[in-house]
Amino acid sequence: MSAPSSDTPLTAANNIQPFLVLHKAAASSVPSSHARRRIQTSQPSSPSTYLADRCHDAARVQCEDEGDLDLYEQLRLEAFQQTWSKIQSTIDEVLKGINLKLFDQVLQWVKESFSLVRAIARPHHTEVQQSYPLLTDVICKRIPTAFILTKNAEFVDDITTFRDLAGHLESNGCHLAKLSATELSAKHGVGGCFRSLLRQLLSDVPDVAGVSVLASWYCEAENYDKPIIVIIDDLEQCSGDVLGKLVLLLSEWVIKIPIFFVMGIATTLDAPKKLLSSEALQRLEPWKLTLGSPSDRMNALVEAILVKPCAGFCIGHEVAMFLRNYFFRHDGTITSFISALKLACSKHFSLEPLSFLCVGMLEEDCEEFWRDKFEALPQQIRKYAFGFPSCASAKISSNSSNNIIEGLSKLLKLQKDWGSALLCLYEAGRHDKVQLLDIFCEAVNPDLQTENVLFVSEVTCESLSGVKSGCGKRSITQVMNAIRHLPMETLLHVLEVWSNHLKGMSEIGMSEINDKVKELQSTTISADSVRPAKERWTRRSAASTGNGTDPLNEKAAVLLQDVTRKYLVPVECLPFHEIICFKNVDVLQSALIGNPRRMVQLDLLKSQSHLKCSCCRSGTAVSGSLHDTSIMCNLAQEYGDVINLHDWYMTFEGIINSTNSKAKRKSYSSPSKKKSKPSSPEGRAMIQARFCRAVTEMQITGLVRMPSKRRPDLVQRIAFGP
Amino acid sequence: MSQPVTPRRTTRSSAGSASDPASPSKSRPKSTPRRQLIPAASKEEEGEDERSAINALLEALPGRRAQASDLLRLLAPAPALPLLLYGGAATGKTRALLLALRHIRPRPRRVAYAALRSLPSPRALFASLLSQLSPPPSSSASSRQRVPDKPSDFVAALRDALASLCAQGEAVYLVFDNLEVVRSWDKGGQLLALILRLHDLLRLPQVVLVYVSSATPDAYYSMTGSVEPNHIYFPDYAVDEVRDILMRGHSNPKLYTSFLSVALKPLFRVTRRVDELGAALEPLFRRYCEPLGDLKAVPDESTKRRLFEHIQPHLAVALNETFSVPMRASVDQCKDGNSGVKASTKRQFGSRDSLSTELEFHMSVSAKYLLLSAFLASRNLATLDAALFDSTGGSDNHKRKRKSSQASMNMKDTMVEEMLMKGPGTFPLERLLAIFQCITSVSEDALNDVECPDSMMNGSGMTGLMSDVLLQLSTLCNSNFLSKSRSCPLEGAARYRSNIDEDLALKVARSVSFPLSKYIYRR
Repeated sequence: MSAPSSDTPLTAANNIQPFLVLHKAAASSVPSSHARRRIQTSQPSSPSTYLADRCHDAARVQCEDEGDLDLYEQLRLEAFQQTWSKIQSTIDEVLKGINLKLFDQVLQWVKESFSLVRAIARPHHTEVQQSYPLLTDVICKRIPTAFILTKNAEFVDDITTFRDLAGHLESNGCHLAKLSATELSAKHGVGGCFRSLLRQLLSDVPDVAGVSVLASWYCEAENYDKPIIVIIDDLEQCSGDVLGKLVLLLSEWVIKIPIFFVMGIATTLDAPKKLLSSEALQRLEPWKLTLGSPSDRMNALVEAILVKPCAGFCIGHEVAMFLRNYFFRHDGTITSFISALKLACSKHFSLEPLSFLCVGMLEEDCEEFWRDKFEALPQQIRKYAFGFPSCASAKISSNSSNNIIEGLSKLLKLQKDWGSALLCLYEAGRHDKVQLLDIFCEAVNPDLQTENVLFVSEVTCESLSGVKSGCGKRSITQVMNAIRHLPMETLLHVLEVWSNHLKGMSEIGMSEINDKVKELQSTTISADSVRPAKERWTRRSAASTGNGTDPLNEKAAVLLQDVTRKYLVPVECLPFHEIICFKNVDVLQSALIGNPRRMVQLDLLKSQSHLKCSCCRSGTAVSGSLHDTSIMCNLAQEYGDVINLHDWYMTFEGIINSTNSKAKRKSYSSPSKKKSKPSSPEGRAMIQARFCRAVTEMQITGLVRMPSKRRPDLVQRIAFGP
Repeated sequence: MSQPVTPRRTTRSSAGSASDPASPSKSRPKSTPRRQLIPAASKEEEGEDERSAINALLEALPGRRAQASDLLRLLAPAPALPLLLYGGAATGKTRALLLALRHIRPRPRRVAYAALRSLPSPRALFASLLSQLSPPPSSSASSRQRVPDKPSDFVAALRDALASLCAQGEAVYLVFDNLEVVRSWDKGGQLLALILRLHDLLRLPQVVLVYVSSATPDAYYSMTGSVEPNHIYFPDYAVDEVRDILMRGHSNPKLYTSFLSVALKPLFRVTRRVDELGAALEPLFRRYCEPLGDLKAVPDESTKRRLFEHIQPHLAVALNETFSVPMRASVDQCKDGNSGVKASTKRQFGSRDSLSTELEFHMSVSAKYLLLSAFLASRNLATLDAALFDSTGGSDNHKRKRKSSQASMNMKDTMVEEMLMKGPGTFPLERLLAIFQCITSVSEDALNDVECPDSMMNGSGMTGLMSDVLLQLSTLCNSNFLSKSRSCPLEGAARYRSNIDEDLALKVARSVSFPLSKYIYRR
């Protein structure tokens, strides 16, 4: 009696919408335009209705052209795969570059420690295999241990780091074993932990494993004279007791079998002190190594992916802000940033019909590529392309393919200039701890362009720091201020980097700017040679206390303003940017933060609109023909944070009974003949059973909590409000 | 396990000829020297050599003259009773025993040594002992020996192995090191009783049992009813003995003496363990030598004074650090190979301050707020929540306190004191979320100012923060900031406790500019 099932599959698809979206992020399945349209229609309340409409139009356009539909679907999918693989490889490269420094440090440390241990004694094979300790003059046997501070409370990002570290060490001639927190847990004990250590080193572990097994393995010729590195990547999660025992066990043997630890610490150096007993700590010879902080990595990633046009895909201001906030306020991991970016990328390619043109950005001869593609386009899609609002505002109205190709190449060029200008800004602000992500978010703001008129006056009156500008131009302002107070040496360095960045620019005006930089550089150098360093220092301190700034700094600031004004053109101000730029933040948000509990509750409350059945159309009253759980959920809305079970049940029974009697009166072919006598014991039992099932379902979906022992007749509500 | 098949007895019989090279030559099978203890002084017969050997033994064990002669006396002709060596950690028990076993006459036929600390389980102990006693198995049946599971099987196997050895009439020594470790093993009590009663169980006069332990005999022999062994007590070293030990093998004894005269006494007041002292003194000595160009030079008085002034501040730091972990010193060294000495000392002294100013690791804003609310929930009484987190955000807290009577004040005071004694309290998830919601809503305005107009995207900024709170919670649990007790997967009725100290909480609060002190209830 719950639902007429003519269009159940459709509603089912609708119901799981957030999950469907998540699933698509895997990009393994081709999203059919059918499903896409449904997603669009199911979001009538989205604020950016424009985009939805556009996509709707696009879908309609495509549907008229069924033959080409599959082709372009395919093209977009290929384009996505190509783009993303490019981005992914860039990411990998960047992260690898950052980590490599640390890896080399670790390797250096391993070599030094190994030679130190070997300097104490060089035990013969036979001595290593003896069960009793070597008699050496070493008073305290300590295991060299590298504590790697990962500087992020969240661990996810470092999994790959430690995996790569293991690979790096192994390729450089170390034996390697990794122990995780699950192996170092109290459940396995030190025995199990040691076994899994052996299993990673030895090919054949006997069923009773002691250190002697390890010793005899180590004495085999191909294993001897290499250090054994044990990597424990998440120290905080280990059981201190087990780890302490392992340390004591291995420290007895450290001279015979050189085992070193590499431990990852997510928080502070206090962690091992809190975790291990003092006796175990005594046996460690600690060294501290640090990984680049997440924001450093983030800066590098943003530079490589978003600022430098690495894949011809970019994100709009709102999306950038969303990603930034997601990173700083919610998750704080690079991993989730990347996955969000990937989601944005896949969304872009699945929603934007012309997105396959993105790939052209990477081609050698991009104009040729675009011409080929564009000329093959059917008329409707061409019309669609010139219907972009960005084209409308730029007054491009003729439908010729030259126009769009010109537009796209201009877009590409301006993007490059924009990236260089942004990097110049970042280079200047870097010394003032300005994050690239912040500058980036401001630089993609389309309002930047319209406000540029105000820009100079705003910056020159330095009281701006207190002004709350809605679009947040504070970072750029901060950079502008920072450059006025840079010491000479840094300024010189900054100028050098600038000329590097600006070299890549193509514009005619650029050479002029570049000349200015050169000129500034030469003046700085001459000034540098004239004035002794000490004098400059006093001047600097005087300048920072007083009102005046160094004229050179002033000049650099003016130059930077110039560059910013001319070249920092946000992508969203350019015609045809819709093709390469992803702006739909709502889609991204709903895909990332599913909020499943709320969705479940909403769907339960509005099940009529989803099911579209004929029996329970009534808008206000709860109809008994609804699904049980749906009835219960509707009834629960009338209560506060606790629900009286008895009342709840009585109302439920009342509703069911009224429907049953009504149904009986109306037609004799009622589907619920068994329940025609609601007062009969089995009928009541049935209702009770349905009630129980509904409550359990609500409990499992996380809408209510079962009664506590103290108040057995009350259920707690957990989810509130629609 | 590619050891060649060598029945041990044959090599043993040729010991007279084979022992004189004293170093295992290439042609010699690997397994043979492994079975011997430390290759002994070659000419066993001559008495003079023996005396000099004893002198060498005493030489090698500074401050252990009495114990060493006791050992030689009690070990030499196989004694009737087991032997127990006890004394604090790092007092030279194992070293003395191993050296003495090298020197006793007649030479021990076989020594089986089991360091219980490096054996992860009882079975590993059984396997290790049996493999040391029984002749190496033939290569075909190699490593897969049957290891007894039950203690009774082990005793039988051990008796078999020993009986064949004892038939030759020479003594076999069984050494159990780190005996105290067994007590913390699973079913350790039973195993301990078994090990201690081995003498009664085996009844083989040639088998000498030696136990080494850092716990006193009372810990073992109070209830087992086994034979009480001979004891040798190893007392803690005196300061002069420690100096002798530390002096051994230094390239420039004069310099080291002058260093020890400065550094040893103060550190000795903190710890008497030689290993701890050694570990603490090593970096200090490196510091001490820094001003010196030539490490071989013999320091004169003025240099000594200069060096003393140089080391003084480091010594003060080390005194506080020895007891916990000597971590910072080494950390500093690794960090600044190039920066000057002064900078690093400054950092050492200033490290406390620099630590307290900023958070050293990255955490998302919502995780920070969650951590703060957990800290508050652990720190404050649940009954005070309503007062602290009312609509005004706890600012009229003082008024309320003033109104309350003296008696209730006193009661509250005792309550707070009690709470402090108990340590951080536990709290259910709901309370944590309620506090979280309160403090995020209070600081929401400030947050919006700083964070630009994201609230329009996140619905309201609050729900944005709330969205994946459970994920953040698990992150905090993983990094040991919170601990979680029993839970039911459906109900989530777990209780939490915050493990962070106030310093860290304040640091976190500062990083999100949250007025934490306003919310901590103090008297």
